[in-house]
Amino acid sequence: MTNILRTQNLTKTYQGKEAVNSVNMNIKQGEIYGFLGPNGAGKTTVMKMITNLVKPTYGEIEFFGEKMTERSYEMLKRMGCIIEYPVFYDKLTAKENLILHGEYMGYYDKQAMGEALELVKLTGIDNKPVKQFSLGMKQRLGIARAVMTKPELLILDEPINGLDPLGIKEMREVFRMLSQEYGMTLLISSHLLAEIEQIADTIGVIREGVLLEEVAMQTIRGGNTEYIELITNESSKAVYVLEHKLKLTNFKVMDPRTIRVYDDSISQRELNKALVMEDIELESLSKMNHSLEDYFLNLIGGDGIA
Amino acid sequence: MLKLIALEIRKNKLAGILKGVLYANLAILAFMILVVFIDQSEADSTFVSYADVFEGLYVFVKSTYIIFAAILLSKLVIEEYKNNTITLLFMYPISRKKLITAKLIIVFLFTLVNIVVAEIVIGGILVGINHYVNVVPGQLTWSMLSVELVKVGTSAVYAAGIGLIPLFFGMRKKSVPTTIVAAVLLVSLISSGFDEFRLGNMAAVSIVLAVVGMGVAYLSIRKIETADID
Repeated sequence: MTNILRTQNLTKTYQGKEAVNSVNMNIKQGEIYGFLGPNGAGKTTVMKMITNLVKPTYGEIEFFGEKMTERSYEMLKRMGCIIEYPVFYDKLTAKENLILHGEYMGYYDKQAMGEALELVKLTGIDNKPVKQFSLGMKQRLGIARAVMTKPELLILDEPINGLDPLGIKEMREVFRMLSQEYGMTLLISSHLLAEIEQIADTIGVIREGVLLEEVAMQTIRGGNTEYIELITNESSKAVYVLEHKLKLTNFKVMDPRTIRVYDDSISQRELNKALVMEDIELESLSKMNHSLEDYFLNLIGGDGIA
Repeated sequence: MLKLIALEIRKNKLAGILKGVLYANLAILAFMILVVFIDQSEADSTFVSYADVFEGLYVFVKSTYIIFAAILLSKLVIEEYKNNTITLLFMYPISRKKLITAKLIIVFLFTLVNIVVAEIVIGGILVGINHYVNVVPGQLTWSMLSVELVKVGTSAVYAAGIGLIPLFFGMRKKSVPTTIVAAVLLVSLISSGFDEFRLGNMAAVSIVLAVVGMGVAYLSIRKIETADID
């Protein structure tokens, strides 16, 4: 897959302090990129640089292989964004806002507006000024506005803020649909892993302005996150059984009493049976799940992410 | 550019401001009638000639519309920053320079046109009334009229330029009150003085201030392309 967006050593300093530090991001065409990090990690600043609102101190952004400059206004036609908080001309109605948006974007498909509103399930808003909307409604309207012009890259900064659980579920469906049916590429930021782990194809983890890791979810998911943990006082005997009787190689001795078996060719029952046959006394034998959350907590040092 | 101007007008519902313009003009008219025709009991009348009457009118009208310009600047520029809708605006595939220029053109033309219209219409009404009551002595000649018209035109251009100066102060902290207060101070500065002498009447002062206004407008556009929107 080709990269739709790539940043190289992207850096932004404010008064000598690096808000974003040498970020190398690669967003592939058609994927959902989850941009994960605690509050104040620099997610919004990166997104603002991508949308030309903030100018990088150093580094480059490439969009569709083309280098972005201060005057790359044309590129903005191919993006749809919500940055920070969905803002509207709030004395106007939702429809007036969307019409204005179309005019400014140079996009004149009248049907698109209705479709977008339907997509985010925003109804009964006829003549109310946006001022009277709840945050959840504004969030939906913001998504409708961003999607309306059928952008190739959809940038959503914390799009799930202010939505109720049902709304979150609905929006997840919408994101998935936009990605799969419309082939849009989505860049979604969040400080909550749970929000994006289910839909993201790639996750980029940022902390204190540094992109710690950029990893495909498939790799993490496929990375043997399930294992069987056995606790025994006779671990050397158990290792012998694992190695020679069961011919297993993919296991790890964690400490003198704990062994983790990552091999998924053997079931818990078979393992138990084999060990008992050899008369090895087991204190416990259980299936464990090394969750994604652990993975990211590890990465980010624990505070304020999950 | 015309399209951008039209969008701004629609977006900010600027048609509504015309009502304010009407009320302001009526107030100026009422006040002028009061001081020119009604308040004539005093021994020495303030307005002894048409030139004096027009002079007074111009000061009023210009002051009013310079403040109007500040209100427009607040609505079009300052509030856009305050409400953060500027992030929205600057994410559109349109050069920032053009977007801001469209706004400033609206303010400039609004001030210019309204000053010219108000001065001619209210001046005309005053002359009409005087035709019946004959309070202001003297005749209105064609040559006088043409001199006045030129004055109306040029001073309106100056005032429209001056009207942009409050943008400079308002933009520093993105504050609406600052913008309006700057306009009020500016107005009291240029219309201050006594009898014959008025700061705003000195062509040099007007021109300087007008040029400053244009300069402010230019500065606010010049830096806009590279500025971070936080």
